[in-house]
Amino acid sequence: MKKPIFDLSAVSYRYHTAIPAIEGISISIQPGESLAILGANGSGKSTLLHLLDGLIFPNSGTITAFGKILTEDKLETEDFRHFFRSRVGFVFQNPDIQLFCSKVYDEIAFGPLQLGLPEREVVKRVDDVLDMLGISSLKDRTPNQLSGGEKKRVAIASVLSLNPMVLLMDEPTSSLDMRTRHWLIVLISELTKAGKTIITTTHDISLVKQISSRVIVLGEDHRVLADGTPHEIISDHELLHRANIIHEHETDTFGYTRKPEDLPNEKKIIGFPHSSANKNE
Amino acid sequence: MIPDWLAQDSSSVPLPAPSNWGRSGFVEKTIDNAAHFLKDTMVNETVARRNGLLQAIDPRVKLITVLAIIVSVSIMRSPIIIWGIYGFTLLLAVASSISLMFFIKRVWLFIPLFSAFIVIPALFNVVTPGDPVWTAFHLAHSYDFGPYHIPDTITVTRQGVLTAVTFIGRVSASVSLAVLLTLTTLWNDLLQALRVLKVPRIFILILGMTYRYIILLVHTVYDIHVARKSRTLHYGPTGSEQRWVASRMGYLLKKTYMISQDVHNAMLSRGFSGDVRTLTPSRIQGYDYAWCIFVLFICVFSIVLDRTLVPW
Ligand SMILES: Nc1ncnc2c1ncn2[C@@H]1O[C@H](COP(=O)(O)OP(=O)(O)OP(=O)(O)O)[C@@H](O)[C@H]1O
Ligand SMILES: [Mg+2]
Repeated sequence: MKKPIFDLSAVSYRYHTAIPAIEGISISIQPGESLAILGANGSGKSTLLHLLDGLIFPNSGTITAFGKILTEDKLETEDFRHFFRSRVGFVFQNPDIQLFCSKVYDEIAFGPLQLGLPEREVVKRVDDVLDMLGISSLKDRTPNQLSGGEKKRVAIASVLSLNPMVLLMDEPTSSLDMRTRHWLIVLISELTKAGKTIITTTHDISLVKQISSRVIVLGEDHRVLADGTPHEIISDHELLHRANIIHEHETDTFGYTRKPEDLPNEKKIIGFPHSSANKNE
Repeated sequence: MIPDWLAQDSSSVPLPAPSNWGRSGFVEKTIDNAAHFLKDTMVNETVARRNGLLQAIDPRVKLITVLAIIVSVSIMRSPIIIWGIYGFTLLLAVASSISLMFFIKRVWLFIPLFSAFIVIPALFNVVTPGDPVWTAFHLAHSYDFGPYHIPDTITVTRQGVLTAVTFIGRVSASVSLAVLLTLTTLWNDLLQALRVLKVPRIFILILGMTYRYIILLVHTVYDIHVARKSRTLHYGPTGSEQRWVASRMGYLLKKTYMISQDVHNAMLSRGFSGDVRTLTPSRIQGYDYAWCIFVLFICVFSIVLDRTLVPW
């Protein structure tokens, strides 16, 4: 068995040392794995990715990355920071946070430039990524002039240009249209084939089969509820229900087959396909 | 399943008295203005994206040459030459596909603000003694306050008018040049051009981010406002609106703080280490050199002409 890329032992994290977000998580992630982290809103998915990217550090327990214990001090050293940042890329949940440059082109060039790549290489990478994502026409825009889905694409581009061997993606398909979503699924599987390690978070079970070979379910108590193959997880309805990822009557995970008459459970969400709020204008 | 009240037909809600219709409050106007400002910055960008004389020039070259003309204008004395430069900026505007009316309006919006307080007193012999052109009024006798002398006849002097005309010309030429620079250059390119003035990279990055997030926050305010508007049936008294704005401001401040932390994380994640690296900007081309020589010629020629017209 290969040496794991990430090894977490009994990791806990609390915001402001009071709000629990991650509780006693022990997992290890192998190189080349495609891992989906499944969990309801607030279960700690984003927090886990922030921990893996060395942006926050556990209150207790340890995270080992590439065989070294990840600490704030270690990431302050020039050598390790360069080593770690060039290998791990993170697509944030909110693209407005991720896109801080004033031009799309500079945004995509930012990462490779900070890592000191030669300029010719940077320019080539930026052009290739722009091309690959079909966003060349946006390169002179400012992020304020982009739609939500376009921002997401630029955010993905700005991380791909780093060519990271580990890609952390927080809700990558949110706000993407069906075509772009499909394109992203294809991209993820190609990156997996190329040997990259892909860690995505989602609460969309229809996605996990397509983008992952292993699924971790986070419960609402911020602990790991289950760890298995997509098939095992998706067929375990009791588990998914406990994690608040599906509701009792959703027998088909790909379609919503709720009937209005069997909705006695108060936890259910009633979808209003066309909000009447905006008709008041 | 849903509560009874939700199932009811809301068309039974009575129509309010017409006096409440269409009244827009202070908040609404302010936010509309903010939205207008946003649109305006978009307009700026559309001009910068057109094909034209100034748009084609490298931003660094443009910045330096515009500064050179402004400095030249500031040392000129002849109103004829100064107004000549103003005319030159109008030509530049036309050559850069800017509508002349739009350009003139934009410049002259500023000028009364700048100059009214300086120009009006300067017209009179109280400030600028000289040959009377027009008598304003007579005083009983003249006054002396220490070094200040107020004559018994207040007149507009020829020298005063000349000073005023020169001053206004200088201001309008300089403002026109600055407006030309900002209209024909993308904000981001202008920021990068500051590098030639030895402004540090990190400072430029921060300026760019500030601009980006100010716009994001204005969008947020606008969204909050629209969201509230869609749920507002009638406007309350101004006091309640102000309280609402105050509470939103608190929220925004908190949000700004959170954004700044998250953005810092996003920068760290992509290898930022306190020292920014940027791409070297594109080469300066033949066209840019030609423009430099042209501007140099204009500056030297007009200063020489200026000194022959007003040789003191
Ligand atoms: N900056 C913060 N300050 C305080 N508490 C936070 C902060 N960020 C997250 N939390 C809390 O930590 C817990 C985990 O949050 P996290 O963002 O990791 O959830 P998530 O699984 O990513 O949810 P979502 O699906 O909504 O993105 C939540 O209870 C949340 O309220
Ligand atoms: Mg999240």
